[in-house]
Amino acid sequence: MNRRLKAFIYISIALLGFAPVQAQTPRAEALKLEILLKLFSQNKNLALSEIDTVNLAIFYDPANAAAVEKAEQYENLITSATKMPFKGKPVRVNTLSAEEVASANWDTFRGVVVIPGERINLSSMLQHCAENQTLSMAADSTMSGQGISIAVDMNDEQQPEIWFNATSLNNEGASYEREILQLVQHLRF
Amino acid sequence: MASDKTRTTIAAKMWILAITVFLLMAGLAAFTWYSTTTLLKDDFVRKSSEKVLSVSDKIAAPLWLHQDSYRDRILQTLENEPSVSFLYLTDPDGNHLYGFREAPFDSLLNAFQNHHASRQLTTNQFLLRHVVQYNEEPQGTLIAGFNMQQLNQQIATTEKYLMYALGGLALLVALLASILARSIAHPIRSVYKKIRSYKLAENTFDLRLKGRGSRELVRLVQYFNTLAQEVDHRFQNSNVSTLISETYFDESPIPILVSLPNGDIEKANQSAADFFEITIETLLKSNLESLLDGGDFHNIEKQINKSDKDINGYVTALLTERGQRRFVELNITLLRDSENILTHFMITIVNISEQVHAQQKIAEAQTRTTDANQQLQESEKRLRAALEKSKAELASMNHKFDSQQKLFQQQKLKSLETLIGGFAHEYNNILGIMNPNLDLLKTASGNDENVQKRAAVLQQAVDRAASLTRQLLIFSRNDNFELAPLSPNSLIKRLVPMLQKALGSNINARLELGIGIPDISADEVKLCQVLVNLAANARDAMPDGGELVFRTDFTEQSLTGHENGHREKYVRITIVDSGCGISKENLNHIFDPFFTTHDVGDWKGLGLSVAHGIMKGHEGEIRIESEERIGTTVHLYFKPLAADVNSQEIPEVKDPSEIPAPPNGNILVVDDEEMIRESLGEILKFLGYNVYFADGGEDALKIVRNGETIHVAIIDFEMPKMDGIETIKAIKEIDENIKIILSSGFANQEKVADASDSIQAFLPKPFQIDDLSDTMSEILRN
Repeated sequence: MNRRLKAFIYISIALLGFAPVQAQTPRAEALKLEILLKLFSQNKNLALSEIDTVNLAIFYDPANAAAVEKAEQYENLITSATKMPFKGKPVRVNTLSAEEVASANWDTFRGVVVIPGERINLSSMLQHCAENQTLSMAADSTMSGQGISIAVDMNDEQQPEIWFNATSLNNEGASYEREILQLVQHLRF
Repeated sequence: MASDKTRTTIAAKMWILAITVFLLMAGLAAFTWYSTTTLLKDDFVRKSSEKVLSVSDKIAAPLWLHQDSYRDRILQTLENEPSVSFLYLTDPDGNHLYGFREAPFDSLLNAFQNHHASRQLTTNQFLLRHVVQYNEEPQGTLIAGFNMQQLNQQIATTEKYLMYALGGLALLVALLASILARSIAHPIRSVYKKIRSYKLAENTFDLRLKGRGSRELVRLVQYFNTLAQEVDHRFQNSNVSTLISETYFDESPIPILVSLPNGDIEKANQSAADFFEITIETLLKSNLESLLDGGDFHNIEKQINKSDKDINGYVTALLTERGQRRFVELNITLLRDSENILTHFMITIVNISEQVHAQQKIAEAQTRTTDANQQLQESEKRLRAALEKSKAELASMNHKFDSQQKLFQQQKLKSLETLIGGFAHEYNNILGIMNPNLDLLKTASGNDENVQKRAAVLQQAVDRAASLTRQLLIFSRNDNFELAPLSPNSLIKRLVPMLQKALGSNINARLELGIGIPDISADEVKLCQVLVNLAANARDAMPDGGELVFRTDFTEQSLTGHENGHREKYVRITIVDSGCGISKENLNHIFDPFFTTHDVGDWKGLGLSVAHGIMKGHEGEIRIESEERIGTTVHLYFKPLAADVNSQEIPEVKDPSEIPAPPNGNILVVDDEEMIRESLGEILKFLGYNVYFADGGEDALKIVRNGETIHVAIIDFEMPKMDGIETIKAIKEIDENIKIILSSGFANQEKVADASDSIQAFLPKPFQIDDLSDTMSEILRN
């Protein structure tokens, strides 16, 4: 078997083995991101009054075109938003590829949005989040089962639903009021 | 008196009362209806509002996070309420999010939305608009309508029951009024008829009302019957009573008179005749005005006319027929006929002469006692005044004695200061001779070890003598003080930790420093010396350990010792020890030089003397209070620094590299002591200067006037005829470029201060070659 064929087979298997980035409407993605950021802002331990800038990071797989596109979309949505739920604090977004996980300035990030992809090393990323008390988020419900603290995704009726991973939330030092917790449809431990 | 027919009957009053009660009840019912209706409506509005607010709070977060299904579930709970007629939810832009039973209420809703009111109450509907907020931001608007049909039915039912109650009440009140009218008015009318038919002394009084009317009415009739019988009985027995009364009147031992209102005696008993010592017949021809004093009778008439009442206990004196004076008490009873018209006075006379005499004697005795008491009080006053005067004189004598003691103490210290100052001056002069000669001797001896050794011993003795003289100069206030602004708190904070080591571990030095203590003008080194001396004394007073407190405060008081003395503000440093204290006997000598309660040794007995001198040099005061076995307190008083002291200009410091080398110059030495003159001259020549000598001020002026170029003049302060300051002023008038060094072991600070503008340096005696060399170099460089 020649090398090109081998590479084609490996890539095909890899693409089948990992959940592809679901193609959803831009409006749905914007809604999910909006809910994620709102949930992020409601973290009782965020202490917005003590920080000058809300520093966020978006991690994506550079080899996954859909993930790249989604990262760009998220970055645009955040930078162009006229109204953010951070009591007027400016928001700075850092869009980083999976290769930059190790070298990123984790101590400056308050929250990260992870876009699933093959090259995303989730365990390393979650370790950084726990060490730096950074809240991990994703607009994909499957990520909640893999350890992402907060995930928002659309159900069959195209209504947004919320996933909380209680263990990760605890590791990342986040806590929420009862009125938010009762809106969570899926709670994992 | 109103006519009987004009008066209202009891039955009519009962009916009026019944109507009044009915009207009141009707008013109460109307008020109850109004308040109940309002209460029910308010309660409906409140409960409806609470439901909307509760739902609004619950849907805020889901609305914000787009959790529509959760939001709708909550809204459905409100929707299920039977009173809710419709719900309508929009987003902040007015877009419809949720609706319930919209269609029938479209027109109503539109009208309400156009109205922009938060609530609206119509006949059948209560509409409420509430803005749903989360994180202080509007998330939507919830409009709810509540059906009031059920409430209106409730109100109608209440009204119906109230009307029933009011009608029943009206009937009840009418019935009661009728019963009361019959039960009260009818029996009274019967009694009235019976009484109208009653005739006195005919025994026909019988009302026959037993078993009819109320208990009170039956009792009233019974008592009326009894009263009528009593009246009958008395009428029958009235003749007997008259007989008894007359017998009592005639036989009474008390004098009794009966007169007409004009005073004519109409009746008198035998006792009255005996009392006035005349016969009854004569008495019956008399008049009260003649029997009593005329004035008394008119007084009695006036009292009766005024009060129209009996007079009891009217005391007066009257004369009998034989001229005997008797004190009597008159009791006058007014007798009236059946129409209440005054017809007679009945006068009973009580002889109280003996009682009056006894009272007069008691009054006289009381007067005598009062006089004696007054005399006693006056004597006591005189004694107290004499005692107060004696006390004042004693206090004055004590004060004079204290003042004399203080004056004596001050004079003694002043004399000592003068004596010791003069002694120190002379002593310094001697040392001033010894020191330079010793230097010259050391220089001249070359390498002769024996001479060098002896010279060193001599130098030690001279240094020690110079140090002792310095202490004595401080006491006599003739030492130099380098005054500068100083913070007492800062000094104590720096000094006390060092002192703690010297005091030892068994003495605890504690600070109690005041806040806002102004700076003082003080010589820091000398003030340290005072505090060290006081701490050393405290340490000696506490061999078994104790506490030493350093305290500062800013106080206003008089230091003259008089309560009314001039009060000034002082910065006060207080040192308190818990030592053995100082006896009163020793307290008067503590500032005396060389006075000590310890074994005599080096420096002993000079500590407090030096402290005293230093405080005087600061224009301050030192005060000591002590009590044996309790401790000693030392107060140091300083005047607070004036503003101009702080603003003194700091002299410009020149760069040492710019200072030129000292030139050789002509020096004029002015001193009346030949030995000092010569010694000083030798040293100056040794240092390379050209020296001129003058034995006094006049001699010095001659040299200056002769045109000799003098660069520096070293002038003694104390000289006969023309002292140092006068000499300096005269020299400066001739040549103001001559630089002046004032030299003395005993300088008057005030005079030196006056001439400070003309003096470039002060050289205290005794001095050594190095001191002189340094001073000369500095002056010539400048």
